[in-house]
Amino acid sequence: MQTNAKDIIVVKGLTKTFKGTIHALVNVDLHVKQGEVLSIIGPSGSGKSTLLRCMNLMEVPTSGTILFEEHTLNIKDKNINKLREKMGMVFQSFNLFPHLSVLENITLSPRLVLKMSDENAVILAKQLLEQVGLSDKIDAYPSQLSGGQKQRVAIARALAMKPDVLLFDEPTSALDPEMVGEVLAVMKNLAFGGMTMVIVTHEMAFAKEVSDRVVFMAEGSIVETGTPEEVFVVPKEERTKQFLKRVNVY
Amino acid sequence: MMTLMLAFLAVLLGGILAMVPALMRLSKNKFLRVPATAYVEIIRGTPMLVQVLLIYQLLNIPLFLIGGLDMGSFIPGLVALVINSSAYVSEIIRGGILAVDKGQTEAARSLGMSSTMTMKKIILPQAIKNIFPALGNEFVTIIKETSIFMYLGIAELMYQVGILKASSPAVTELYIVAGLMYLVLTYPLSKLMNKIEGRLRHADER
Repeated sequence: MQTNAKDIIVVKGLTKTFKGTIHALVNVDLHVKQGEVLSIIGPSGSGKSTLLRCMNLMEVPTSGTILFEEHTLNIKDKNINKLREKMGMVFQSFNLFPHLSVLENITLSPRLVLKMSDENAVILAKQLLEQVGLSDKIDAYPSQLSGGQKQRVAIARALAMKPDVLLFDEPTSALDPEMVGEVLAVMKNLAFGGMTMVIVTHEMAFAKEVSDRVVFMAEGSIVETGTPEEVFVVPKEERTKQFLKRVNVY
Repeated sequence: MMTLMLAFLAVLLGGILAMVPALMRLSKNKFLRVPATAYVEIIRGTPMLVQVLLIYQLLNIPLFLIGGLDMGSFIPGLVALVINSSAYVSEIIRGGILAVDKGQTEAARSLGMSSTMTMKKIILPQAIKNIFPALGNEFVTIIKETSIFMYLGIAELMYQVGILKASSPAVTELYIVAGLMYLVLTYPLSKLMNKIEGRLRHADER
């Protein structure tokens, strides 16, 4: 990633309140640069998933603005579908479409939304399945896959829309430990391939290894932002130190 | 035979018609939601018998035969059943749609699909699996209900109404009053059920 790369996502003064009382996010500012891998870490309930989900308006902010490629996101805007196409999302619980095969899961949106021809969509799906190492599962249904395989299909499905950024919402948190590695390996390849990625994760070692920048959040606010070394090795804030000590990694 | 045919047609037509209030009730728009809710509550909250009598009264089709069936009683009977089953089936459809995991909508929308596309390609195909078993139940119920009012004898009923009509001009009003009284009894119950349903759904959310 070049340091002079332009911002692809800009979050300004983002506040999110649930049911009027719980402050999930308080006045958060953040920017994501083109080609950057940004990890968001922090204790559960710190608002990191909410922040990520606000970036493509899966959660609608209570106040504040989100800019994506210089467009202000607005849930009432018809344009929102067009913009979401370009922001792939990978979910903790995979959310594959259970009534569709692996192939159909991947080709559905390119065909419907991008109006891609059937042949081209299938060619693309085959490429992507090879990329995530699941060529042999093309005709399987989600229920026949392991958690790790499901998540890799979900990544392929998101990539099929040729997004400019991929948002990962705790992609390995629902996986059995022995399946975490295969998913992280796919993500690592994407990161090295130059994909812009925002990753909410509990995998500290992974965050340290692949991130260009790490954001530490607590109680709905960003406590500290820096390179992996700055945040993991020489954290400035007491809150960060406590958290890292508790997760017991460094 | 007549009963089965009535029940089958009622569930089929009612099922198709039921999509309208089901989707209206799921809408974010109050002007769609409120009338659909009112429709469902009124139909569910008044006895079928009252509805049937009202429809007879309002349609008032003279006796004529098609294939040995008296259309004068068949058509109003069918209309009443369709209306009745549409309200129940719309609740089944709504429940079936709500039972589809929220993550499915999120995944579809994150891929740039519109809400209509998401409903058609992702939610409804999955909701049907939730809807079908309950639809079978509804079919059984409707069969029972038809047999009840068939057993009463529609022709006889019309005769009775004829007598009543002779003594009082306000027959329609009488039926409406009876319906309202039942509604007073059933509406609080159905509100209570809604509350419980809401609690249950909250418990599922993280």
